[in-house]
Amino acid sequence: MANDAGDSAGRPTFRVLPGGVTAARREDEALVAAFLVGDDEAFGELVRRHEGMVLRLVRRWSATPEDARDLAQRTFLRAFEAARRAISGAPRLHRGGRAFVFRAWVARIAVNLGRNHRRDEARARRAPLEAAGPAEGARPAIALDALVEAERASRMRRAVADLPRRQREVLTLRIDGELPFAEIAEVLGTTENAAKVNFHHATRKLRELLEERAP
Amino acid sequence: MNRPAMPQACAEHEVAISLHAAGALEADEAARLEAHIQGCASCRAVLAASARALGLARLPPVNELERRAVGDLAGRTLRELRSRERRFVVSWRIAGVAAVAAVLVASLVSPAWLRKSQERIAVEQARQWAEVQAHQAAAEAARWQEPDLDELWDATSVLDLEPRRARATFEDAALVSYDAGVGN
Repeated sequence: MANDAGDSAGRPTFRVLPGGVTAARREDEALVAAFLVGDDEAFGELVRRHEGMVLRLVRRWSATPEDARDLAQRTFLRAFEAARRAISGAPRLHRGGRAFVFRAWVARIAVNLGRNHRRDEARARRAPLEAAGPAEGARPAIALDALVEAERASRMRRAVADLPRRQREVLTLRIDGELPFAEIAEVLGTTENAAKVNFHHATRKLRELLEERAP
Repeated sequence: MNRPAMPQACAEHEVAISLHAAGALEADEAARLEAHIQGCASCRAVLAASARALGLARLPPVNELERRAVGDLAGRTLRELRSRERRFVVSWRIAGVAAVAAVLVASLVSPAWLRKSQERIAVEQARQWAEVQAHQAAAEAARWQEPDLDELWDATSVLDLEPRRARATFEDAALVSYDAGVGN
């Protein structure tokens, strides 16, 4: 999980999840299996484990907090329906024979729903995140500086939306979803190195945009 | 006024700098890069600019309004899921009842329908046979031509009367002579 405030140089820092990825996956699988035999508590636990990641992934494309909530709910509904089919043995859902990984599925579905949501240009333009202002801790004391900074942040977020699809997906899975690159590769069905290179290209584009517009 | 050229990172550190700006390097990789950056102003500038760009691109933290909106996401999602399951079960039940009803109706209707069907087939066959007969008769009628009277006359046995008459004369004479002999 990321520390939202970042370090003294303004770089975001990331904490390591306790228990490791493998243990978390095993717990996810056990919870999914328990839910599928009727354990509602297991369902609640699964949603609570991943709702933070899902919300962070979908809110970039949401017009309102309620919109984000609906997208998050749709994400989990699709994930559980897919899990039910996968576990009941539909072979087409075992993508290329790979094991079912609930967290990766949830992230993939959230990314896809966000991407589809973006197609609605009108909604994208009135995204509340533009009105929410810059990240906490980055607000200058002077109002004019704050406005300039808010405009820069708004431009950067629009630039994220305009990145090529794969670069945008990798970038948002990293900076919004806070996923490690190994997981990003799993979610997108690519290699870790390819994910890192895509992330680098996305970062370079954003940096160049920032430097071009710098006063 | 000319804008100063954008700093360029050393090619071999470009990707690592982007990853480091996102805090994604392992500790040993990060230490190696930091050691390089200490002596490379360009890479240092690129790292700072990358971190700033990513910082601006990141979303602000989830605020209270959003937190309240997604409150009880698990409960809401579970209720929606159960509702969908109930709708699914009801749909299947309706489909099952409809299928059973369709089978029952078919079993009741099909014998009568088959009987009617056979009758319809017989009537149809008779109609087709009558049509064929009528067609043949019409074709026959179309082919008929009025006969030539001379040919018809030649074809009759009227012209055979003379030879038959001659034969009769001969036979009569023989009879007469026989009769005469008998009479003798």
